Amino acid sequence: MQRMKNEVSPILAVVLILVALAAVQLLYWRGLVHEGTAQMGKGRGRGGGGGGGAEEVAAGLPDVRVETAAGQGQAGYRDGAARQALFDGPAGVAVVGEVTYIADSRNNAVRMLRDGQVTTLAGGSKEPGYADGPRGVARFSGPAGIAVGPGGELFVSDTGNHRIRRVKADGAVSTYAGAATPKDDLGRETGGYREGRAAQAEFRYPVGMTADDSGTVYVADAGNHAVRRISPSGEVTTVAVEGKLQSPTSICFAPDGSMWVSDTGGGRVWTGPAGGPLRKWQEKGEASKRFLPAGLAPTADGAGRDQLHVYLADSGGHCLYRIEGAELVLVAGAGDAAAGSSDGGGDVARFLCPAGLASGGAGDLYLADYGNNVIRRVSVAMSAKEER
Amino acid sequence: MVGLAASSALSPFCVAHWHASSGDPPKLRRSVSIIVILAVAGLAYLSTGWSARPRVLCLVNGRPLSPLAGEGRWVAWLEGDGKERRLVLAPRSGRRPRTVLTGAGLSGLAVSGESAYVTRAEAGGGAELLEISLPGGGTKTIAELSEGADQLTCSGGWLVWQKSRPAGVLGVPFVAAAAPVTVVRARPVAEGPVRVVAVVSGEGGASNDGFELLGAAGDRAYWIERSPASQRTWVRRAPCAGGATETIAEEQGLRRAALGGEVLVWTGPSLEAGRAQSFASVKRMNVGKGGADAIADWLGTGTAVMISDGQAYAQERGSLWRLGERRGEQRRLSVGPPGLMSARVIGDEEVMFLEGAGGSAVAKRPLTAWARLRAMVGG
Repeated sequence: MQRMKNEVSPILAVVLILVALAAVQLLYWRGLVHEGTAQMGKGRGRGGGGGGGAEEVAAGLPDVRVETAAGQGQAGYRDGAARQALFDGPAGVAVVGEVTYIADSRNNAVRMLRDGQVTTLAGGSKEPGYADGPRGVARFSGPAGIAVGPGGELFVSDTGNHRIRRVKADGAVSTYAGAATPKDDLGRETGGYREGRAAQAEFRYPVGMTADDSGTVYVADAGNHAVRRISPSGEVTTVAVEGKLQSPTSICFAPDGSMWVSDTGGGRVWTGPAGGPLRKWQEKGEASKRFLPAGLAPTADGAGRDQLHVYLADSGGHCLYRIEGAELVLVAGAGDAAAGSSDGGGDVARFLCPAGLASGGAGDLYLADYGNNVIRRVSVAMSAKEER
Repeated sequence: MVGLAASSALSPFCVAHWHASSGDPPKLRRSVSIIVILAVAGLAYLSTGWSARPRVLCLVNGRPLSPLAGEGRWVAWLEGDGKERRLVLAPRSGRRPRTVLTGAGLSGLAVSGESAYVTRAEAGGGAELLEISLPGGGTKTIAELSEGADQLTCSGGWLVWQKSRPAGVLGVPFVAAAAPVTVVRARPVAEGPVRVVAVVSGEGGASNDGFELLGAAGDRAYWIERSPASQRTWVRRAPCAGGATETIAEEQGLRRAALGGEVLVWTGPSLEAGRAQSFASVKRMNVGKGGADAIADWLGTGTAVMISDGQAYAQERGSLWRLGERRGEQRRLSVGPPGLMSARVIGDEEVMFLEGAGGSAVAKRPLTAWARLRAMVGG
């Protein structure tokens, strides 16, 4: 027995050492996997991937409904049935009656959504360009904003060409304002800043636009850090500001006639009379930590002109707010910079870098969900603010 | 590996047979057994990642200003403080490093064979592309560039670099036309004019985080574009002489990629973890043949990849993995030491920057059990 012990013990020792080493390796592996799983759980809890974290985020309005109006969700270029169509960086939207117009920036196109079908109204090419003319001939360079004039004509901010274009119902495109500017070594115009007649005026990366009842077009001239005004007679001037804008990208008029401007680069919202001067709006509500104000649209929920209701897309916080008096109220999205792509109630809906915003009829808002490459429809009922 | 081989050779049957047949006294047998046990345990230990301790090659004077570049016998980096920058060259054997070039505007370092390439910015906005002989230290200007160069690479017979231009509208993520632009340029290593390979616009053209140049293979330049706004990554290529850009892959999330020789690897979402976003897979493609295969899965989302001598490696939270031919064959070679800033594999060694209380250092550690044994014996 003693002899057997002497002979077997070294073998056992070798086996035990190897088993111990294998066990240590296995435990280390399991530790890594469990750690990863724990992290995964954390990510879900914050609602990063969808509606899983709905209980942990601020509750949204119970009667806000978000649905995808057009787009499949992946980047591309395809016309057709709304949910099969593809967009690539939709940045601006405008609504006229039953038609939604979309500035599809990386497709260099103006698209439209009507009767559940997406078609190309003007432009549409992988490579940017600049050309006026009928449908199929006209070219754009990264159009990012779109507005509707009082006569139903469309104005498009041709951002990369530093011009404002006008698009007729048949798709014919002309240059409404903006002159040629010097080019860099890659052949791209650099933009400029000049007041005067529309054909001689210069812009630098114009983005959002709106038009008032008189036909005056207001342009968020992001690269010039200014709000420009194009009168119906074609005179381009600059709206006065008490302070300094950094990169304004959207403009709208509230029901009370006041002008609202989102200064994305400065992370602030500005307001004032249409003729200026604009002042910083001092919000009382809490915006997201990565607040990058983008699209603005006036109320669509039937509030009277004495009630101030403006909706604001937050491209950094990936959510939608409503401006109520001096407060910023979360309407849809998580509000804690949690991005995603999901439809549903305001509390479970998720966006990814929402940009342009427009009011539709019957309490609807249309939102260019830039990062998700879709157009979202946000239905907001009048009773929503009482629920909040 | 060596430990496993040794353990299989010393199967219980073999040892028992030896005990039964030998007539040696029990004391001798016990001694031999202890030696065998120690040898097996030592080899097993050397074959694990825990046994690899980095050995400091030299201290960095100031802070590192470029990733480590290296090939064969050499490892090189840019270091400096303030405006003064130095190109430092160190033999991997551990001999003393030497400063081979000093200047204010040095950037973009690549090493190929016995030459290093670096750019030196000039006052007017242009730059010089310099070639430095590693053994001798001789420097010559091989091209005058119209603007500076970043992420210089030297592979596949081409020098490829990029220069990003800032966004036209700062702080706005959704204006494609005003997004940063990255211009990719290339020049044959031997001789030839500088050509524009591609102009990358959109969010993917963002400097640093958005755009990463991988190098050249088969007369085509490879890069990845990452879009923080849409959380997507594209792997693309274009002819070095200029031509249409081709998208090789599009992945969800912000991913990493590497090119070495004809092998291209990149990370993507886990194929097996379903919707779990905490894990990543690695795909590999031979750029000459095409067709991508997944070679690893269940790695962390922040996993970086690299290629050395045609072998793919993944680096995850400091741990270095050697990737196999198929999923599930990855093997951890080393565990990340404290202070690890960046690392790359050169030959059978991992060379890295380490950050400590006293500053930064360049260190190396062997990756194979045999190399570790050699390192131990050699001091």
